[in-house]
Amino acid sequence: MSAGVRSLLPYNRLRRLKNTHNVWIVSVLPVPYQKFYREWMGSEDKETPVHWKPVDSEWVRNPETGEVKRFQNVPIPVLYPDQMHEGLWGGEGVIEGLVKKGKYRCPVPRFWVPNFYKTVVYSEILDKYLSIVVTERALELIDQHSGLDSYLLNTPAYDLKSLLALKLKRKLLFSILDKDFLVNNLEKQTNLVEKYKDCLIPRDDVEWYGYSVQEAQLKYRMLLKEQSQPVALKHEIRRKYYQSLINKDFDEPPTESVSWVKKMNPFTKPAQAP
Amino acid sequence: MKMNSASGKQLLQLFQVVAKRPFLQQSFRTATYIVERKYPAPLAKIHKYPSLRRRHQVFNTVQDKNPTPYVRPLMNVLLTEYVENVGQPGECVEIWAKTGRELILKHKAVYPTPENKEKYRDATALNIMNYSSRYVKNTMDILSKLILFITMNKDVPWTLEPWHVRVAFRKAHIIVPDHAITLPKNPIKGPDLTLNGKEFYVTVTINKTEQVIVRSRIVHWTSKVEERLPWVPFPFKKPAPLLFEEDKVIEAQLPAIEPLKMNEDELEDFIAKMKLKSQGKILVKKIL
Repeated sequence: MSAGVRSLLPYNRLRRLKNTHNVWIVSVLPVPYQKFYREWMGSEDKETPVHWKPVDSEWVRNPETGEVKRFQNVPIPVLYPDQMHEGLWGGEGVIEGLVKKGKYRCPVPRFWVPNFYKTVVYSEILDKYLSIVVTERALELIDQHSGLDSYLLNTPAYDLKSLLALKLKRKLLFSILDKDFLVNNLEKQTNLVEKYKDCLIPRDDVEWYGYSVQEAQLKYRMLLKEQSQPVALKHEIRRKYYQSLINKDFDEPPTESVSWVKKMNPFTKPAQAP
Repeated sequence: MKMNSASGKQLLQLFQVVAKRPFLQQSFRTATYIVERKYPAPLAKIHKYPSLRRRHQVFNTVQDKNPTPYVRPLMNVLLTEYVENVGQPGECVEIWAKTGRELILKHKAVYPTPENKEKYRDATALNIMNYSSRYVKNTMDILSKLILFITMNKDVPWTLEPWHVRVAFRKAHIIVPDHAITLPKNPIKGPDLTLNGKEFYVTVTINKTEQVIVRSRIVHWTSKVEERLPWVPFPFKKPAPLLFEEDKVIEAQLPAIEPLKMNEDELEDFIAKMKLKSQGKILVKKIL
């Protein structure tokens, strides 16, 4: 596909065309993952525009003639390469387009690529230093949210975009739900749990949050395999027997049950008087 | 030799020309690209996407690079402990974003959220250093390493006063008011060539609180070229004898003077070069 053809397609349709195979796979996967995938890839209208400036008003007046006309925002398509999933780009991507360098010169292809750094970022909940590839915009966003954790937890999946950020978010959500972080400093833990109370989502959704389609597919396959595998009866019987042994009290004296045949038998010794 | 120097100059000029070109400036860019359609897209029906052509893919860059001249992005930071040349604990400071992020990673500072501001409200009690401002440490370091040369007249009689010292400070690109300067107890009178190059100590008070001791020496000077004292190479790299014997206690406390790194042969070459230079200057003056 040449540079021209890609951008001429409608913006929403282009993504859907690329993801036809993925959409088919997702329709089979469990509902919590479908919910996540719709938040991640299926909400183009909610995305904050990074590489172009939208106009808020529907009508625009021409400054020279004073004529009023309807205005339509046509978004500029942005490409997200695979390397995006290994870092925090803050919603930035690669723009593919043409440049006209003179009035009588034919347009020339050009790629607008963001600038990257390798820096260290600190997460308060995990209490870890992470060295990751980052753009200046991502660092500014972290400063605005005053910390990596609140940036990840407060921004939705359609703005985070990269799988690394989404995986980190899943880890943070799990650690808040289980309360297994900062075990030595319980005061700080309770403060942080209260701080991020509103960002939480139910546990079933968290278990399927932040997976790529291929990873989710693999996870679902493993789950089905575990469920469909036949279990031998001996395991359950053995388990029941062990539990009965555990519940039994050995200190109590066993109650003597005398069969009716013994009672009728006249040759047996009579029971000794106490 | 001439050829080499000329080619070097040309290369430098060429580099300066090339460095101004946009493709080299891109590597220093940190801002995000913002792009605009050169030929705006046509109108479509509401909630529909317009049919685009090849010309609608031609973009103009609206926001490309950092502003010129380059301005460092700033950031507000709340300090939790004393940091040199930045500030005191409990203080909200606006600094370069890169250093601010580094301080936060080292747990020397936090983001200035309302929760953190309440937490570190009483952090000023942790202020052990008790400097009056954040630039004091830096100025004290500079002043304690400085050797002040006070040029005095060789012909007219004088006694040393604070404004003489003020002028000498101004020559060293440091501005000091008169009330901040305290001279030694014994008066210094001249012109006296036995004083020349001998060391005594002047104390400077910063913000009426901190005191710094500055090495200072007197140099005699006349408008007559023939009667001037001979030129001495690198006087600020050598220790000098004391003017008052009482100051021996103070001398021990001050940081040592950095010695000269040149060999004797190199020094001789350097002096010969400087002499040639000075002769040239004098010749030019005489001709004019």
